[in-house]
Amino acid sequence: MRIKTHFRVTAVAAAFALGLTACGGGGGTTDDPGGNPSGEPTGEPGGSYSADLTEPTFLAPASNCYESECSAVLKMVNDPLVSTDFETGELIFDGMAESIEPNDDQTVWTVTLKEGLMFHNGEPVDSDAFLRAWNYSQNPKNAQATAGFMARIEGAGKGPEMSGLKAVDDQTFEVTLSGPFSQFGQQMSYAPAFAPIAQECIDDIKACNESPIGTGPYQMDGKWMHDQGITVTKWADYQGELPANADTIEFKMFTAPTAAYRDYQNGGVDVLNVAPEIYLEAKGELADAILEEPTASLTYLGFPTKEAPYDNEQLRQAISLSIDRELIIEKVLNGLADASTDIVTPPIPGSRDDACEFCTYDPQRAKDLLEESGVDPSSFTLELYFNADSGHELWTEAAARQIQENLGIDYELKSTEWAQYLELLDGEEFTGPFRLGWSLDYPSPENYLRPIVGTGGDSNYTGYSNPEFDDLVVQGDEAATLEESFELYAQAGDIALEEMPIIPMWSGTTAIAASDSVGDVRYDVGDGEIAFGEITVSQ
Amino acid sequence: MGRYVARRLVQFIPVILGTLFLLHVLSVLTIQIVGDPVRALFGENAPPEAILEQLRANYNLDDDCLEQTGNPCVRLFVDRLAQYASGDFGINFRGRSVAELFVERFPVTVRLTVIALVFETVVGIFLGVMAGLRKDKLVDNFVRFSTVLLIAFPVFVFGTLAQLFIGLELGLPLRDSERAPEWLGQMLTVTYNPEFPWLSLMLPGLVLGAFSLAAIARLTRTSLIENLRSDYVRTARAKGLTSSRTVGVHTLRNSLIPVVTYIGIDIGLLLGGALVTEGIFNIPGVGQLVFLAIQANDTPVILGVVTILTVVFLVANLLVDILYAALDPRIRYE
Repeated sequence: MRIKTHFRVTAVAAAFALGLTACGGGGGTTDDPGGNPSGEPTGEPGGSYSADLTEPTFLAPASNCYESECSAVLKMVNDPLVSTDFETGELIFDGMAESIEPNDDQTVWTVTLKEGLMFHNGEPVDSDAFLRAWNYSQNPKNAQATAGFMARIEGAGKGPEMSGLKAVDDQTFEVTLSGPFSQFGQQMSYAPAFAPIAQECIDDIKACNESPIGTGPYQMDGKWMHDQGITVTKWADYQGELPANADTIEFKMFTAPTAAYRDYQNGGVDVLNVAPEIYLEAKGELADAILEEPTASLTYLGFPTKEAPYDNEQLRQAISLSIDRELIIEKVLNGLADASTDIVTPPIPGSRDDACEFCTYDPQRAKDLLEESGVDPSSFTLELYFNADSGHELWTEAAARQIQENLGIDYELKSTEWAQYLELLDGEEFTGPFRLGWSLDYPSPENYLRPIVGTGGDSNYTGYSNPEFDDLVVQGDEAATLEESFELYAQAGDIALEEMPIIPMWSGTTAIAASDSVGDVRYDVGDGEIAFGEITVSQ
Repeated sequence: MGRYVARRLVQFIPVILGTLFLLHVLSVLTIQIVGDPVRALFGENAPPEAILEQLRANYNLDDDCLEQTGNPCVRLFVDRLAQYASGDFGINFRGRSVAELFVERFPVTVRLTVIALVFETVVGIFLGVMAGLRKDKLVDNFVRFSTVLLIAFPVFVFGTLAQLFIGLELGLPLRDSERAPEWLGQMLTVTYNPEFPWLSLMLPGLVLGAFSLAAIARLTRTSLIENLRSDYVRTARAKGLTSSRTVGVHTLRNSLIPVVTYIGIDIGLLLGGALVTEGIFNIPGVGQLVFLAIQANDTPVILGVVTILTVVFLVANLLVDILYAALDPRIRYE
């Protein structure tokens, strides 16, 4: 998943801070639930505004960008290859691709590019530019953060060139996957991982990182001022379709959320991500001027499903039923979350609002299930794990107390540093439920189900493995239409929600403040950031 | 004098080596106990192992000793010394040179330090002298009361209050107003503004200097009162010297020795970056660099910057020791 690094509460930790990802919001003039990129701005183009941003990791090569801050900047500077509609899950060809066509068994994908595309420096955007970038990205020598996205392509990760990537002509190239995968088009809508690269950029990557050469509606105005700011300005020769309303956007970086909010009060920042630290103060002062929108991030508790007593399915269900999610959201998270009804979060196409039978609060049923399970609640202590200093202390304790109250199981909270947490995760050494989060790489239910609960999934630390579940996901991958694949993914989801290797807790909500001088502020669920290009400035 | 300085310079070497080794051991232990910082750059789903291995090699974190808890990794330490000796302070986790990072930020911190130092020394000594000369009078009571107040307030409270009331409530109308001069509005700022590299550091500088100001005022006062009672002051008075000469030349100069000692330590501390103040006013200084590096477990930055700061601290204290001789004729260095 993409890491969110807001205000640097240790790399990833911030991502899931209080489940609200400390990050952008949206709304503005539309009531769009977010994510629909077709929301037309109403204001006039022109003008300039500033927004807060956390220092990105890398800007070039784009394939080294795997967190929300660099992708927010790169979204301005780069055109995507293709986008995904969050309502239907279908591809939208508003980027560089004219068409993307799979063969019958979804293994060979042909990408045709639009005519006459250019980089900011005048180099053509052709098949070679993509081959150059993708081959660079997959090569382990280059240690690119998004190299994993290339893993499905034949021959990836073995040398300087992948055997599965071939140019047909200047405008067309062919991608051969090592197995059928119907969601490959959707996967390519994570723009940074699949961006082309200019020859000038690959020749001097260090210089390019300071001032990326892109293909998008904006180009860098001066160099990247590390930990201070990044300014982008409209590219006069832009031929693409992405919205670019303001002439200039200045991104400012702040060490502490409070400093960012003070600068917002001072008029120095027009668009501000309202971090949890300042939410109550900002809410008190700005009230309804704060826009709150759902994000696609999921917070959940995982079980070590091979450890007794957590290998007992009914115990897992009972624990889930004994947690009052709504109460925790209201009292601890300031209302900034939505209780889970599915593993797939609401903004993602194919998500369901009634899928999770055991996600409701029902203490009586929880007690009955505990009794049926035959587990003696006094025979063990529930050890609840979370990573320290990332805002999880309060809600994990609240959840543990509810479990204690409703089921009579004593608890112990265990917190570790993030690096140590990851080691425990990778080694599957947890001896009790553990907190984790997930957000999308690409908008597909598959991107939640397979990594979290699939056998050997990238983020499956529960030890859970169910061949029936895996089989349904594979069938979904191979389905001919999106509708069929969503149906199959839903069946797979039902199995996981019944056996509960993880308890879905809630999906995040983000808060954003916008000054009077800007309009059309909207949160883009896919990017996990505000849609900066759409913002208009009143002049 | 020359020999004294040379001897002190030689003494720097074991101090720097000791500091480096201590830091090295701490950073190695952190990695051994807390876990692999390269893995922590990523989220829940690990990237392919080949990528992690390559990154570990890039950052010199691929030594096996980093997996054996308690192993001080002496070989890594020797490598690092050789690297530092050649002027290479390594790269951070984002591939940027540590020396470059430091050079980018040091001027900001120096500016902030200068403002704070000038403020605390001038105002602090002035208040101290006023209070010392009028012991137990109104001025003295005022200085004593206000300095206790300044010392009692933690800097984050003081800084936040200054930012809210001076920067925002007072400064914002000034900045918006057509009539008020621009420099005034920028001086009462909320956050650092690179377009006004000195003016927008004024308020943070004053906040930063406030604590030391109180300390300097009190040190000056006490020291002055004590020296005013000494025999040579009585002799000077008896000789019929004017009171300004008695105080200015014969008393104040040697009363400043504890003050200069304090300032010397303070320079070292201030140049090391004022973490809290820089955080409140969003100043991209050395403190912020170290703070961010600690949060990210970015060992190369922490080690490189702290090494440079150790040297800065040592030099500042050497200068102070040399200053003693200039202030008090009884002190000589041979």
